[in-house]
Amino acid sequence: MKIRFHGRGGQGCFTAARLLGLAATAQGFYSLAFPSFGPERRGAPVVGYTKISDKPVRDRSAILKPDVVVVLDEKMLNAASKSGLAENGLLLVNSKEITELALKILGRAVVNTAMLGLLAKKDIVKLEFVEQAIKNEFKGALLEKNLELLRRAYGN
Amino acid sequence: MATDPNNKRNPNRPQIVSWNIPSKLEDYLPYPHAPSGVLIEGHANWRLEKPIVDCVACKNCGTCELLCPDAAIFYEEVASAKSAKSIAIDYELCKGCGICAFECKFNAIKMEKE
Amino acid sequence: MAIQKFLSGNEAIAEAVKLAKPAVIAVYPITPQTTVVEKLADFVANGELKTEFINVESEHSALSALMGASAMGVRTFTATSSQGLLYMSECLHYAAGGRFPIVMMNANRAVALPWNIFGDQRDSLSQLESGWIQLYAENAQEAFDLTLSSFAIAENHAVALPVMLNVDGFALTHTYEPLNIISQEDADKILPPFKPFFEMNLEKPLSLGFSAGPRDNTAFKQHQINGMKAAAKLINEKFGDLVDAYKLENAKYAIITLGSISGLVRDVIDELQSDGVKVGLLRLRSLRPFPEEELRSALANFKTVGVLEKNLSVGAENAVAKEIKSALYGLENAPQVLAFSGGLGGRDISANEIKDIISKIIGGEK
Repeated sequence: MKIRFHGRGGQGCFTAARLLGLAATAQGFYSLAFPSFGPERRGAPVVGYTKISDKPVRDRSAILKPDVVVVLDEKMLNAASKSGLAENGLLLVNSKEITELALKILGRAVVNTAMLGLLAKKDIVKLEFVEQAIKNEFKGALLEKNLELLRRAYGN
Repeated sequence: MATDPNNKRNPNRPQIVSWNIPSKLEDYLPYPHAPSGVLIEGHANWRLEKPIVDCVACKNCGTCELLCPDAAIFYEEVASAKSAKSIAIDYELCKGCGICAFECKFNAIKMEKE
Repeated sequence: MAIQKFLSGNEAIAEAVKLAKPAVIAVYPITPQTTVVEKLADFVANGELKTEFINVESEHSALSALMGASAMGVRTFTATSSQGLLYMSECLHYAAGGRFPIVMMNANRAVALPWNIFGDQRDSLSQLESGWIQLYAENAQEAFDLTLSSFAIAENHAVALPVMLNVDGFALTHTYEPLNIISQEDADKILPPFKPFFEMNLEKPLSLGFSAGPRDNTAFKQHQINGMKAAAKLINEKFGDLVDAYKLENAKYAIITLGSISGLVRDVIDELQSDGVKVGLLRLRSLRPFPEEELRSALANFKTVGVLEKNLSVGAENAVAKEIKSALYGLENAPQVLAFSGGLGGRDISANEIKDIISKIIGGEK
């Protein structure tokens, strides 16, 4: 299973890829997560990659033929973000509702954990392991808010 | 390396230790670091002239000690009315270059033929 | 008891350094090594690692400071990459000649110009003759394991040489993967407390780095060669061999790699072998000491081998390919050796490109 995330620097695009990898590992799979390499600049287009398998993942090359594409910024829904996605592949795009949900809960339009909720809903990884990954990443109020955002997005 | 037992030196000065040129690899240290404060040969017989200090003219200013290129000049503790320490020359190190005599502002060092 | 974590290669190395407990770390940050420095600084700040952490003003100073610290008889660590490694170049030769058992992580990155911060192996391969042991890790687990091994190798008295542990920039330094982190107790078994080869202190002052003229200079170099030979023996006996052979048994063709690209090559070999293609992989874990004997015995009956390195020798055959050729020289029916450059300036290498290389190896064409 190859998942490619598209977003902008500062939207938590690679964090989503990494948390998905961590969740998949916790669920008992092997995984690899890496960002599009290079200078990190807020606002610049960023790609995050997660590879999940029942065998150790040894291929570190960029994902050219993803099974799933997740677009965190709907303005980035274009030929580049959709490239290589199979006819029966899954394309998840951030919507106005998700952004509003993030604004309401986090106070910021950061939708990465919400998109992880949608991935769990599509059974890419189980919700409990995403929760576990988020608990590993955040603390205190931020943890509670992200868990709420995750669960609300999952329940939508 | 071993200290030469026949060499009666001031114990506070670098000791002369006998050293043979290694003839096989095992005789060399495996690293280029060696105990400091030792000399593998004295320089006394390198000299044509030797510096002699005039203790009356000397003001203990320390210029010669500072400028000696071989650190052959040092202060020795003495019990004198003038000072608790006075300039001394380690003649085993001194090569007789004469810089001390040239630099002395009080003409307190003269070079004499060996 | 090991615990599984999901970490980047850089974080894995920082975790291993924490377990190794160096007394002095002197380091200057540079992409893509920076997160090693950040993680170690975190460990120091939160009290998990007690060390003298020196924020130096350059890589030249980082290695100079560590030579001084190492002479005082303590374990030392630094990390660098690319331009930083090249800026250290003078000190690299110095540290090896001085027999200082310093461990350094190098995040393999392209060298300027044109300016490029991405991964390739031109930096470390340009420093093969600096006298350092050079190891190359394939994944985060191996980077973690080899960090601890590097200290044990460097500090072995028969070896007494600095170790450069190379990890591919970004492809390994910034990729997150599961790995097992061993306990402090187990780390202490692999890596006992540092016992210096020579030691300087106020009671035993040393003249560090004396000169050795034309008569004596060669002897010190011969001692260094002996240290490298001892490293080869030690690595083969205790730290997982200089080379890593994968499905070579029935192969007639081999691809030779170093570093993290080897993982993808394994995937391609699995696929091709299931289709009956007789190709295997030989991964070089160490370039210094160079595994000459291992190569001669592993590749004796091969038809053609191709060497894939993230490197380019301008005006000559690639550095690693040339060394492989030299190692195989004089063998009866020595295999043909083909050189391939890939991944320059961080360029992605795909499975199809590996297949292209393998078909060229089998076709015997350059």
